Amino acid sequence: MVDKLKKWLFKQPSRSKNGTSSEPVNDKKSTELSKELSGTLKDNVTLLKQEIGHSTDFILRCLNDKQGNPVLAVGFLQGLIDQQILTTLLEELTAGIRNGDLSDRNVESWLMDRIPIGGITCLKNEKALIHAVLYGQVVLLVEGSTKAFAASMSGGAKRAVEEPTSQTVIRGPKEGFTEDISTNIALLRRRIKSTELHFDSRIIGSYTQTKVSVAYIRGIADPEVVKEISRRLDSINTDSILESGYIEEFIQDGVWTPFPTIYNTERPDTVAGSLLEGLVAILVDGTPFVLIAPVTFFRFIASSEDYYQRYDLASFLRIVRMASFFLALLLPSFFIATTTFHQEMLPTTMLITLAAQRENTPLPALLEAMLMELTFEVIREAGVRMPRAVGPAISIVGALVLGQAAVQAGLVSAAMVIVVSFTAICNFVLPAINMAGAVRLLRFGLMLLAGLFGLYGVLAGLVPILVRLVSVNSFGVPYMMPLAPFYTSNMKDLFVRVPWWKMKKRPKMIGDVNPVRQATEQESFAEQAGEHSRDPMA
Amino acid sequence: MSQLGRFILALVILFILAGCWNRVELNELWVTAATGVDMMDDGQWMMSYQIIIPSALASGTGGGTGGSSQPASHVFSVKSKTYNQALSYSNLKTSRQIYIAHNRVVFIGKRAAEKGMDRLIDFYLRNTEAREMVTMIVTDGLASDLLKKLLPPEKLQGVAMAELVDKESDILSVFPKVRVYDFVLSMNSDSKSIGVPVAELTGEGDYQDVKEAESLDVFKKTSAPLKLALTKLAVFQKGKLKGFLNKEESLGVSYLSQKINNSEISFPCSKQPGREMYSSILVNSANVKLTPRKTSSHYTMQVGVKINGTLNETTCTKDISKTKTIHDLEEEIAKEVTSTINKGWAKLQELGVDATGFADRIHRRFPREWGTVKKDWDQEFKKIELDIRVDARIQRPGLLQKHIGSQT
Repeated sequence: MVDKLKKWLFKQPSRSKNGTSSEPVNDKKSTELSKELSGTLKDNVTLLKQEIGHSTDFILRCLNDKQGNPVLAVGFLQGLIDQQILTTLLEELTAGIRNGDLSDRNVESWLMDRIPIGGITCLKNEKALIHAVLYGQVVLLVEGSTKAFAASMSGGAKRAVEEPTSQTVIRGPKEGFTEDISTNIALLRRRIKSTELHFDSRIIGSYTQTKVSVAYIRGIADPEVVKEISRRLDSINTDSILESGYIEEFIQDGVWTPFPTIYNTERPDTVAGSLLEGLVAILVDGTPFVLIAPVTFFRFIASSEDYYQRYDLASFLRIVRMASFFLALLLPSFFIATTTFHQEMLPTTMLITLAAQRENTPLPALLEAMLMELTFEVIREAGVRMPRAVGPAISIVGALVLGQAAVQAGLVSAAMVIVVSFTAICNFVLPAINMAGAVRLLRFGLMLLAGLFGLYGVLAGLVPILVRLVSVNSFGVPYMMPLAPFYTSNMKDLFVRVPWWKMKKRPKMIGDVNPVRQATEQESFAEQAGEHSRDPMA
Repeated sequence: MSQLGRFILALVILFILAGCWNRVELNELWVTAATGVDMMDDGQWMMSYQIIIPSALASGTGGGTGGSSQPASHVFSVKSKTYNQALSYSNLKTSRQIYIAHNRVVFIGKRAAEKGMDRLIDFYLRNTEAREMVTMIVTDGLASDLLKKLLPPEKLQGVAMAELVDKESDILSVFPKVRVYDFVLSMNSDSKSIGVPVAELTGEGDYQDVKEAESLDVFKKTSAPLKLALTKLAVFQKGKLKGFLNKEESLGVSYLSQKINNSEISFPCSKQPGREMYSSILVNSANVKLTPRKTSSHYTMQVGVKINGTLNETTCTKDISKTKTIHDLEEEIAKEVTSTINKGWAKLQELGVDATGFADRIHRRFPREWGTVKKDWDQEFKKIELDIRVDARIQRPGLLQKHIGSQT
């Protein structure tokens, strides 16, 4: 029976079904467009016009030679092209035609030689031609050639590299990923200038044709993990990928747990750091959020700033964050349980103060806590969704009306407001939003259990949570990894972060392939100085 | 029913059967700070509860002014056959449930104490809500009378009383702090005796003052004419009150029962002519070692007292920087302590109560002989002699070497 329950509760979505299914979603065109390009310019132009030409943003220009015969056609989607480069291209082309450089015979070689564009590729079939246009390339069709050319000059409206808004640091790089995948890849390349850094790209989504890139460092990342991630990515068969969240849900382990098993970040430095630890990053076009896998529970408690600040301060803050995690999860339920079931656990004076506050409150503690927690969730959600201009209104309503006035009106007790607000603040301390979300979800369940069964209920809720935590894997890495299973070597970067010169090895099980991070003789100058210090008295 | 259904059912049953079902909101409780136990003339028990009125105590919440307009506690009494009946019958008189887990002190009326404490002990051990860590205090009259008296400037008399005993037994050690738990231990020991502090209203007061001590008016004065204070030590044997010891005798018993922590010893200056001059040391550590010896006809208890103290105050005109003076003073301390112990011992022997727990020491030391001694321990106890050896040391005489008024 238990086995069956386990199966029922913890079953993974069967991926093999998706993987083996040969029928792509909404991909009828792919078969129709597999034809070779025609040799005549007219046919190819007709094809382009048929496929995308009716849209106003598609521009197709035909260039005629002196005799008035069309020799060349230039096609592109207006918004995706860098207009400046396009102008130079067209200038060059028209000049070439005017000077008669472009004759029927040497047009291909001329294009290759003279076009002032970095990347130019040769397209051989219709599908590739359409794709090139859709990807923001300029296609060149030549009369009499069965080849088309695509010049990459993608540009147009793009967000600049800005400071990441979701994960801010005081010390550390302030640039964040953008929506453009090539910019993101460049940001990573700029950090890791190594030939071992690899990007495996693929396209997912039959309508969105989203470019998804798997980044890893060869020789550090576990090839098995890379293979597994690629396998899972390839088995995704959907019509759209608009954000990395889609991918995350498709490929993650541990479906039946609110705890995230894939980390997401807006920060290139975090991704670079993770890659260097042997993790694999998944970049998705159209979103600044990059996925990192495999991850363990403790990565969600750590912040990238931990590695930039002094190790002592970083360790302290990490412990504070760990404590906040537990407070955010348990404080309201403990409060409910102790005040309604275990009054003997409270000190007498505290009991009296709490009792005095509860004297005029109409609701039981559980309902009161639920009410306040839900109110907070609403305020938080409103704060995220509302326009910036009405920001002060929210804080006034939240702080004054719901805090002060609710207490004075006798709806909730002051202690409950403290508990709820402190819980909320503790929740914000968690650097990863998805982990904070998991805590928020579980908190409500635990509160309910606390209100019904007291501390016994809280414990009965915590045990399954813990059991689930230790049973989840993230791409083969146990979720609670350095603790369960226990790895002493990983303890250097868990609750505390030891100085950099002490972390000689990468975390085990993730960076197992290439364990050594720095020379073993690496030591602090303080230690060296201790050995070779000059005696001031000598 | 499917297997999963059965599993969930099992889970639900587990929750329902083993879960906490005593959910009660804080504002449905009357938290008691002190309980009084009395034996009435008609043979019934009278339980008195000093309940805390939270709103009077915590100010600034709920918009109420709270504070001074209302006393922080309320006392009501229930007559009943048993303690539990009293607890249940209290619901006839109160709007909320009496909650005794936070009870800090239990007052025992003299008559109840004479009748015997076994019923109270049984109640405390059997009831899950009542705690064995409650401080016990005996009252000379009715416990309920004392419960009503306030102890300015503290608002909660029960809590304050418990704190008083706590601090007293820590700082002064004249009266030991006795919890129900200690009482149980003593009832199960060989001596079956223990001393419990007695609280009384002290001071010269008329009827008017007694009434005032029960009202908030007492908070309006800087000094109340009547005060609650610990005055005596009630000694119990086999759970029943046997007699009282005064302060000094009680201190002697504290030494003998190794309950001295910190204390103060005032002693006369040696060989000083004229006025009675006293000095005082603050005892930093007092270590009492009890070694039972067996002589031909009786037992002797060797009492080795080691006292280390700070000389806090002296009007002796001698030069303290001299070692001899210090030795003289130490000798005086030893004399003082010896006399204190002897006084307490004399009273105990007079009452025939082994509140020092000597029986257990002798049992442990001479386990084979104990069997024979046990039968007439009362007689044997009266034969015990003390061999007191006090080793007093003044560790810190202070930087001031001579008394300001000294001529030499």
